[in-house]
Amino acid sequence: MGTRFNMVIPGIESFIGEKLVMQINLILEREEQLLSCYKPHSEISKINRLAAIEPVVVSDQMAEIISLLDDYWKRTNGAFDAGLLNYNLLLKKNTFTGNKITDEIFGWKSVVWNPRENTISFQNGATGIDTGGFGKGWVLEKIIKLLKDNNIKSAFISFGESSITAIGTHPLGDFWPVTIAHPVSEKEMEIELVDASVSISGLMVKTTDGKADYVPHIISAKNGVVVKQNNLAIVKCNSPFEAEILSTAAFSLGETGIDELKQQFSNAAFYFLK
Amino acid sequence: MTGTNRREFLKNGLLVGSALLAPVSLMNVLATDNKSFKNNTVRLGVVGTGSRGTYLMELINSVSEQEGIEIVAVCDIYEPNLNLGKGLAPKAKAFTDYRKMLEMKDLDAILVATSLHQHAHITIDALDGGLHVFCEKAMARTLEDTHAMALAHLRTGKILHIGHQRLFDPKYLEGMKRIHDGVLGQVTQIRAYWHRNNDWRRPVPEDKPELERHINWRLYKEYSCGLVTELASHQIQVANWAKKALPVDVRGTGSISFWKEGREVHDNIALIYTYADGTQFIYDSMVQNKKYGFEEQIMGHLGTIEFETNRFFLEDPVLPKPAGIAQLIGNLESNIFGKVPIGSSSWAPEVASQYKGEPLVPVDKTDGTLEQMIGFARSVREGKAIDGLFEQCYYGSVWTMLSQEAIETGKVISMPENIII
Repeated sequence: MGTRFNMVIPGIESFIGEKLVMQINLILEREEQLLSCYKPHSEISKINRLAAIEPVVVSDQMAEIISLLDDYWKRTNGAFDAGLLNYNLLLKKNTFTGNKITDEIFGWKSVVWNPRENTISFQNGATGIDTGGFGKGWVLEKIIKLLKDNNIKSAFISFGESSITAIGTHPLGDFWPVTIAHPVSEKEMEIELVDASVSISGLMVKTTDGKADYVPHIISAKNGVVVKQNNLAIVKCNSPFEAEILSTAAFSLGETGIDELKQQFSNAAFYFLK
Repeated sequence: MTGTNRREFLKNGLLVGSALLAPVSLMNVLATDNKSFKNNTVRLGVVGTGSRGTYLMELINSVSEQEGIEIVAVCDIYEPNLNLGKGLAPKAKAFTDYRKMLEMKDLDAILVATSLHQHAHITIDALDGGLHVFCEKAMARTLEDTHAMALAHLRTGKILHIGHQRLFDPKYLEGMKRIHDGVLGQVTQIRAYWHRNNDWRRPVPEDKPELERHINWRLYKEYSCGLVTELASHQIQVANWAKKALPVDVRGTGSISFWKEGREVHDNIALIYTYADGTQFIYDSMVQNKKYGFEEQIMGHLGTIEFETNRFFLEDPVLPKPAGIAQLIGNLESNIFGKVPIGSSSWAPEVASQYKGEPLVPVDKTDGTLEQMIGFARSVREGKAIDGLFEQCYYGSVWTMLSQEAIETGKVISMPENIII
């Protein structure tokens, strides 16, 4: 996934912890083989290479994911679009000359998904599935299940600092107290987590030397323009997968455009930090 | 400063020249001022055109027009080396006897890059002949010769530069400024080492085996002290410069542990110097393992400088805040219900922060040798030595000789008063 995974389980016996670490490593490796766009032989890479040429039969796991992505694209009215991989790659390489994708035909609207036959195809070669907006949340779902199956009552997980999951409560309190800071303004907000997840989306990232950098990578669903705002969109809900998808959607819509999203996902809490 | 005061100053362990030789003054020497020296050329003779001598000639040639330096004579008793020198200075007169070269009427200065045991008499003859001298380090093979060179310099008033090029290296100048400004805090220990993995041998013509001692002079005690004079001398000078002081004493040991092929000088040495304030300078050198290379580590209670690799480290650097997860663990271990400062839009890969210090100078592209050549030529042209420079080099060489004495005698050696200048 190209990022750091941290987990704290208070008071656990070391041999149980070591066993869980091994199992989590297996999950991470397995899901990377499924979802990593950086691994040329992952299933997602295979789809992205071939789906514009011919329908690709996908695994049951991938079918479940694609169905969910399709569902969230519809429920967010296109605000969450997992089909913009190539557009994001162009942005990262600074080779995309335009500033809008409204008139372009790639994105999820160019994805043809057949859930009965588990086949996927793209209407053009510019479309590709980007796992950056949901992959960590998907993996966190698997890890939460593992921990609960092993009777873990309290745990705190940070996946790349932007996807955070809490199981149960802090051993010394009634919740896990989390402080989120804007990387530039350094304004902070506090969130209390109990059996919940939080996801943060924004353009400012902390580089390895501790400095803030500006990396445009999210498209506005309203007008297809590259989002260039400096605020953070933060979503808290029970599912880390849904939290990650909704924070991306909220960021692309902007603070003033998320009323419908709030109504559609009333179980989630939305915040913006400038 | 009078002679009496100077001696008292030195008895207290303080290096007189250091007070004068501020890094800033050397930086000023190196400052480019775009002056043209075309009508005021320094005419130079080179004695010893072997590997080091020809290297210095190449450097001089690279700035000869800009800096107004002309090599007008070359001298070597070994024909192949003399030919190398002539190749680099085709218009220069060639000599096999340096005394003949010193008789040239239009010579301003000479550069001495011969084997160590010849430094003293060539230098003294040149100074007495009214010439300025640049002599490679170490100054001489013996303490007596070293002292005699200093006396000749003082007696004649002619400039005598010794080839401690680190004195002109920008990263050393910057580092010494930080040390002397107290940025490192109190310097209480210095470590230095110079490790190579080779036999130091140079090829001797098969039909002339009698040239063995002449060509491989670094391996024989008559001509050299081996590691002590060829390598350690540089780092002894650096330690004294950093401390602005001279050691109180030195103890040491050495042996021939690996290259047992007839050499007389040690192939590994270890030395410990103690300064009056309690600072220890720990040194070692060898020629059978090169893993650690060479370095001078100046360690204070606030920071460290590693000169050779151009690095400066603070003891307590201001680093990015630790990952929130680390803070969470710390709080849990201390039974604290603290907030977890975590969460950002960082989808970029993150790695643990590792403090690797910072460079002393942004670009490290010189070891100071060229700058030293330029500095020498400018001093010759102005007829004025750089304040404090000679004393730095002289006492560096003195303590080089005392180090050899410590190794050879197994005794704790201090500086005799009679060699103080």
